[in-house]
Amino acid sequence: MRKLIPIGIVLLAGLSGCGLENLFSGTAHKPYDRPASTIRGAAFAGVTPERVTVLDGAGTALQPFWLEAGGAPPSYLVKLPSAGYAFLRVQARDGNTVWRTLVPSVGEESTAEAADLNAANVTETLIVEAWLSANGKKFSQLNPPAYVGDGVTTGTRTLIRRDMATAGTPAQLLLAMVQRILTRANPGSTAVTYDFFDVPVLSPAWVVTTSPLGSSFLAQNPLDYDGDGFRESTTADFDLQLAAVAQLYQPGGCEDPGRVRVLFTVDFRPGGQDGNCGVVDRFKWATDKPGKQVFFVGWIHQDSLIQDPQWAIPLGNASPNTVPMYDDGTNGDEQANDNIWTLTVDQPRGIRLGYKYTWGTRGAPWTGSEEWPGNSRLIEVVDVNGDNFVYRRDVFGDEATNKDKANLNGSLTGNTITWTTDLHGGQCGGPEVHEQKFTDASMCQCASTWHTPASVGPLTVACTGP
Amino acid sequence: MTSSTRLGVVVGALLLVAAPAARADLANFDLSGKIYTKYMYQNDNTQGCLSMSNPFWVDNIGGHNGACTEFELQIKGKISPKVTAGVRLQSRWGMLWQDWWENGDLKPGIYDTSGESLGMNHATYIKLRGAWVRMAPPIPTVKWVTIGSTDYSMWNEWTIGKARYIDRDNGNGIFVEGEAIKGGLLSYTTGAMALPKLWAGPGWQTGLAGNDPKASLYGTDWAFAVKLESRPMEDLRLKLIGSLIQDWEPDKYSPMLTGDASAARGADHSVGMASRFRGFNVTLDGAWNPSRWDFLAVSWLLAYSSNNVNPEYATNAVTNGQGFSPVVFKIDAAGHPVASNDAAAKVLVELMDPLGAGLSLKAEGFYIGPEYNAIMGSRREADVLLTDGIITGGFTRGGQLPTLNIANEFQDWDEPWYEACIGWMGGTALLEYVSGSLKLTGEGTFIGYNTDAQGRDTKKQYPDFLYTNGFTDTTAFTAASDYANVYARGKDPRSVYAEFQDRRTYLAVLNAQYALPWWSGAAVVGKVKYVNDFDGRNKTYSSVVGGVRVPTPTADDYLGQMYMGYVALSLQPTNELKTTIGYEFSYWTEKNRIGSQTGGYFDDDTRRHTARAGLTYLFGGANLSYNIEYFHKDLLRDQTANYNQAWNVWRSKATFEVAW
Repeated sequence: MRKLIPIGIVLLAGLSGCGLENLFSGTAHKPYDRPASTIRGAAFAGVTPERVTVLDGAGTALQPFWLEAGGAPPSYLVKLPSAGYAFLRVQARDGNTVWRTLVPSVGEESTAEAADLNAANVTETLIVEAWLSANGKKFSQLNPPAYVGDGVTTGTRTLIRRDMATAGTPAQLLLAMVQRILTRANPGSTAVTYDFFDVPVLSPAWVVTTSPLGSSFLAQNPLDYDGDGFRESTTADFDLQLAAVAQLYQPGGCEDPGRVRVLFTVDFRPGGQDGNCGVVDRFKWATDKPGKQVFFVGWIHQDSLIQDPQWAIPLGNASPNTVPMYDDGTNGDEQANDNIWTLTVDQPRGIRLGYKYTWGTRGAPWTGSEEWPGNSRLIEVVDVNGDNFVYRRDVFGDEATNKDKANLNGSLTGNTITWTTDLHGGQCGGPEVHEQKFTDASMCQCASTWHTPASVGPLTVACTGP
Repeated sequence: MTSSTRLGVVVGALLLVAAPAARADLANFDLSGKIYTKYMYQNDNTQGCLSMSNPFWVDNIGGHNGACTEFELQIKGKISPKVTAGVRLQSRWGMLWQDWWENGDLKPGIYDTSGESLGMNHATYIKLRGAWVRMAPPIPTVKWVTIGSTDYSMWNEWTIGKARYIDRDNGNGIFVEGEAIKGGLLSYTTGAMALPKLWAGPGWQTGLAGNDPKASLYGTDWAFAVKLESRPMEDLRLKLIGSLIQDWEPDKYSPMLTGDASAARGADHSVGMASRFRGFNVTLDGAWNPSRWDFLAVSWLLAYSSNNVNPEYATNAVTNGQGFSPVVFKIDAAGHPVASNDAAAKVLVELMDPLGAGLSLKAEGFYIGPEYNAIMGSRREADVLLTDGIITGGFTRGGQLPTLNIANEFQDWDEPWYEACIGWMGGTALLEYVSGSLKLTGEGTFIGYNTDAQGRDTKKQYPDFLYTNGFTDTTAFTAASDYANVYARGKDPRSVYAEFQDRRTYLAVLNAQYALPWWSGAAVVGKVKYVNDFDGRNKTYSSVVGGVRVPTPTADDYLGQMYMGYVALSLQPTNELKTTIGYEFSYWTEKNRIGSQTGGYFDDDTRRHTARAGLTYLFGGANLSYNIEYFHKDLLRDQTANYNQAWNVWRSKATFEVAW
């Protein structure tokens, strides 16, 4: 035994530094759970994973990497790849009925609780869907914080839920209708189509053109869904009530007087023209390698009267390659995979920012990723055209338009731009540091009209009443 | 100078006197050099000094016409009586004699007329190919500790095999050898070895992001092995070898890799490791040579392997690599990845002239489980079974190895070939008769296949290497830019799994060797070989007859018969010169050699005549060898499926070597 101890020490010492450390630590390592954006809530009896789907704002089914449903009491849990999601709808088919519930937002590595599949949430979802349809808007144009509010007195969700709990309100009457209709739910139905509750379609005049209810079902199975003692054989009364209730709320929120939504978009396609109408070399300074993407980096400019550092946080606060831009049709990006990258941030009106773009990997340094070294772009957050957006379009690597120093624009006297420099004589809408009437893929020309993004809605705040 | 300073000077001087003198003189150096030159010719339009390079990636050293030279310098030093060290410096192989001015200046994407554009493969730079230190510290039981380069030959073919010759110093590790119980009762060897970033893992790599987008880390990957040997009695020798191969990747969900370095997220500036591949092999082998019956020798081996691939970090090459994978991607009934485990065993009994009449017998039984796989086992230049095997011919030597990782690449046309024997079960009987100058050897072998299956999942789990049937023509084998052997597809030597297989093989081989008594050094050797290889394939196969599919279970059956004859005459006209001339004829008739379950199968007939003449000349430390070969091959195929092919190939290879 005395001999074995030194032998063991020698063998271990001889092998240390040869991967043994990883062998011991790695074998004991319990794999981390995949980061997820989780949604969970109560469900109806008989719910199964196959029946549950998650829809994004456009109604496209997302692909959860984990989905469970069932149990007692019945519930469901959905894990989506970790990201920021807004206005998801969890939907579950139960025979001739489809339950839907709104999830205004769920963030990275976080959980949205109590997204229950129940009558109240179905009613709330129908109200919002009806409002969007009548206003020609999309879920992606809603603002989750404005919709949710404080849960006490502000926010559309708060108001709808308060009203549904108050006897005699229009919302409460609509909820009662939904509850009566749900008594006719037939979980055993295997029909391809369902009878309740389709997504309503309304005209701008608040007339329901596609009812959430199946008209043929009611024609064959009259039901006193409004509680007036008479059985309804049409959807008319429900549709009228839905339209009336939907008009009472502002799911889009109310205008924010102090802040505005800013969309930075950068054209990363080859062939983009700079302010001299010359073709930009995207990789003059940035190095192209597999796995890179466009990042945004911004900061509060020293000339700004607003210097609250909280506004620099969503801009990356001058740290490169920390704030990713999007080209996947989400987060304000208008067209997936078109190589025009988008960042949507909310900023106080009037703030002055410096910013630039990088082509890098997360956490990479400036060198090899920034569009050009040293200098920066400028923006003054002013909603010039009054559409409640500040929309900025740039071409990556353009050194002849919005570049504060060493600007290569041939029409400049000197090589700097200031907060008042206008390279286009007012044709693009004003100084270079403001939003512009831009031309696609060219920074040396102006468009005749302003661009208002439809991929997101304007920044709003929670309303305090109908 | 203060008193303390003076004291320091004195102590320092005493230490200098007392310390062992560092011996930096030339007497400590043992220098050896070698110049190796190879010349190759073939009547085609390729240039290079390597018959078969890598068929997977495009390199620029493979080709059949050229002359190349390399230089090797070995330096060994004796640091002290119990510490030695050595290095091998060698020039990069690949520069043709015609490659004047090549300096490694590779300029991709540029139309380059400089003649210096082929990169470092043609620059003949001197590279450190191996470095080692070996010492015998005064530690109980420890005999030697080796740090650095080695060829891994201390293990065996079923666990971690000896590296192929071209990789002989590429492996590095730390090794401890010792004797725990004296008298040969228990000795041990342990090793920790850095895994090669290529070939020793799923996708033939252990973390090259360019090869596998799911993996990016190879600096953490090691193999560990231990060997225990014992000779409990004079007649009995036992050996236990275990090896563990571990390919790590960073846990991709480590909080540090998925978001901000916020402690609230669980990020702690550390990254967990997830196993990409873990392979475990163990063997227990023994030999019994009873001194009482010195004509008898019995040896045996038991082996077990477990290979566990994590598809979260390893792209499934069975699915995404057309069935080319050195590992099985096994899943359970629920689709979850599980380890691929299996066992193997063999026993060899040898009776060496028990009757005193010159007649000896060897009999070997073998069972290799369908999923036994030594991913770091010997890839070539070894042989685990007694049989001649299927792949060998007359001029072509070779062997069988229990791995899907066989490497018939980076070799010349006159080198041996190896085939995978995973799933083989059967036996070999070998009779040898020696009388005077005559030696006759006759072999009979039956091979059944544990890999037989109907509906085996070769789409997701079991690699079939695309071509599962047909004799492999090693003589006409090609390594083109995309896939190997594109002109005469036979079975890939690594292929052991097929979607439908019901196979058995018979082998008969007769070797003869006769030393001509009237000419010193002259000998005639001959060999005849017959192989009958049958595979019933799909037992529920159906053919289209009259526009409808009807059951024809035998219509897809493969039957290959190989007839081979070989004769060679060796003469030694002088002490320095030895000459050989030989001829080989092979005829293969193969029913349903090529095709598919859906498109049907078609027959091939192959006739090949090969003639080779060669010489070796040894003089004063210089060694010249030259072989010239001509082969004519006709591949006669079903004209409804494909066209016939013919080969008229002349090729030669010369080597010249001096060492000092």
